[in-house]
Amino acid sequence: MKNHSSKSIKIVFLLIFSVTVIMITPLIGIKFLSLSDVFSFNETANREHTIFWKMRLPRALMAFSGGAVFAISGMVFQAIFRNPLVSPFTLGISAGASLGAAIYIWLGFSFTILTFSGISIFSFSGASFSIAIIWMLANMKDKIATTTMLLAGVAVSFSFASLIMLIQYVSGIGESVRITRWLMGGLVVFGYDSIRSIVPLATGGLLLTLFYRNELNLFTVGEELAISRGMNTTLVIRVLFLGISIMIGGTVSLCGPIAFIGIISPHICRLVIGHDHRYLAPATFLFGGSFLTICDTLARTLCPPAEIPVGVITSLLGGPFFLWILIRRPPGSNHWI
Amino acid sequence: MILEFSNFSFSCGDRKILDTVSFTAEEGEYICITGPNGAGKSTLLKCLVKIIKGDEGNIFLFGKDINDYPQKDLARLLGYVPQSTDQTFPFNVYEFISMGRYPYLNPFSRLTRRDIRVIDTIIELTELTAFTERNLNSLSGGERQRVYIAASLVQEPRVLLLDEPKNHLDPRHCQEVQKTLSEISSRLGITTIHVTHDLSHISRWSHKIIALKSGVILFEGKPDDIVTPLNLKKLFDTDFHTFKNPGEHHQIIVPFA
Repeated sequence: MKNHSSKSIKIVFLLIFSVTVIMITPLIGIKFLSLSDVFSFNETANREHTIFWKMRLPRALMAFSGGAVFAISGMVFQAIFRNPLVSPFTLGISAGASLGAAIYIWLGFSFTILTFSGISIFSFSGASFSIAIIWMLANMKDKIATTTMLLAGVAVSFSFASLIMLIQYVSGIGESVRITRWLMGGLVVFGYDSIRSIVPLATGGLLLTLFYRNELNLFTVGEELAISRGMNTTLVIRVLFLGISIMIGGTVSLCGPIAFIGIISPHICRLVIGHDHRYLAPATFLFGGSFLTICDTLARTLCPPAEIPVGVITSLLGGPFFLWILIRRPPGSNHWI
Repeated sequence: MILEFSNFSFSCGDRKILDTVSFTAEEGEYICITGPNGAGKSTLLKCLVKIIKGDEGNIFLFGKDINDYPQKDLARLLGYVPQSTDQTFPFNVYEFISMGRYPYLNPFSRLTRRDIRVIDTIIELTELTAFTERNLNSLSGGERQRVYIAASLVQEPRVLLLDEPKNHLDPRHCQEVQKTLSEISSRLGITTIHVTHDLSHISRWSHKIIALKSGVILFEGKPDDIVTPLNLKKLFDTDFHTFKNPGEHHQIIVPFA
């Protein structure tokens, strides 16, 4: 029982930390803002006020939600497939999204439907296409073979990646650069339109994961044992795959495939809080969110006025950070690494 | 009669792993399933828990076809202890055992007081009280086997399925595990189906033996009637000696070298 309360304290700490990150990082930038600027509601034309509320705060929320989605979906996929190397992008969902975005840029479209940008619509369609392919392959037999799913995903990823290369080759230099830039991920937003899509996605993902926390724990001990404990593994895999994939597809179509968060955040959180998904899921969610928000703040402030692609920062910062944790971990603390 | 296999078959491609298997089990019975490697013994248990699905025939549990049970209901009746592996799990003993309560949980509930009472009772019964905080990876083979047994017992099963639970154990641990099993099954009135090669064990503990070879039941009956050198030769294709254990009534069986 002592164990449980110490884990709860860690979660509460992470929660406070996350809220602080979301509140503080929008103050930082080329122009540092003070709280008095931000809360001066009487001057509606106030520039600082606009920068904070219309640009930096939505961007922080976007980064937090995106990071949380990638982290928690990495955690779920690693658990289902019992494989530490799986990331949200392994199953080809982001490859599909990227292909959609590449086609949009290549064809030179530029439109908006309702509040959704054309590129988001194209990339979400691409992601849905990937999801449909994997779904059909996985359901060809009445029992889902997770290894088949994984390999099919890798195959889809590679095919789509080569199609993207082809598109880049045949398109003009300008389009090619835009495609490359999109693939690095970006979090530029103005106002709250994208936020209204991504926050429900992230929240839904967290709730779905918490709903299946016992099942995710059982996956860790192997599918056969899970079945013998009474779990309908096929149903759970179907629901989780579909739910998490849509969440990834939606997020990638809004902020691009941001590398590395999805694969390392769950591992870091396992080392800190253990493998029990009751605690691991919220911890991973909060950690992934805070991590991307901090990385994005660095991306926009390190070499002003230029912006470093945030995907570069996540990998550059995440890699060594993860190695440091690996070296420092107590022996026997993780059965995977 | 609480369990009945009725002309049950399972094939893998063209090969019949189980071929029209029929037998029954009574409440409280201790049944041993034996036979050479590849006879289909483990497959039989896996079909029973619906880890794999049979092709023909039926399995009835308490008079109802197992395919008509939702998996959770099945798990409240059947406890399954798989063959031991070197797989490691990142949980401690208490966490792992409490995961056996899964069939009683719903997505919104936590472990209730009753769940915790069952878990504590089983931990005491399997003499694991001193181990609850230990990580599963740090246990010896025998200790880990006891944890597996405990985890399946907290499902409060009416039938316990054991797949060679004493594999890789030294004689003392073998003895311990067997003692635990026999005590518990008689104390809790659980029916046990135990897959094993250990012939001396069979004749000592079981009420009934089912001998499988190439997916077919070669013979079935009381240990004393079944365990004869002639039958064993038919089953394992090698010669055996049997001795009466002085002072006790069971037989000792040794392969003839």
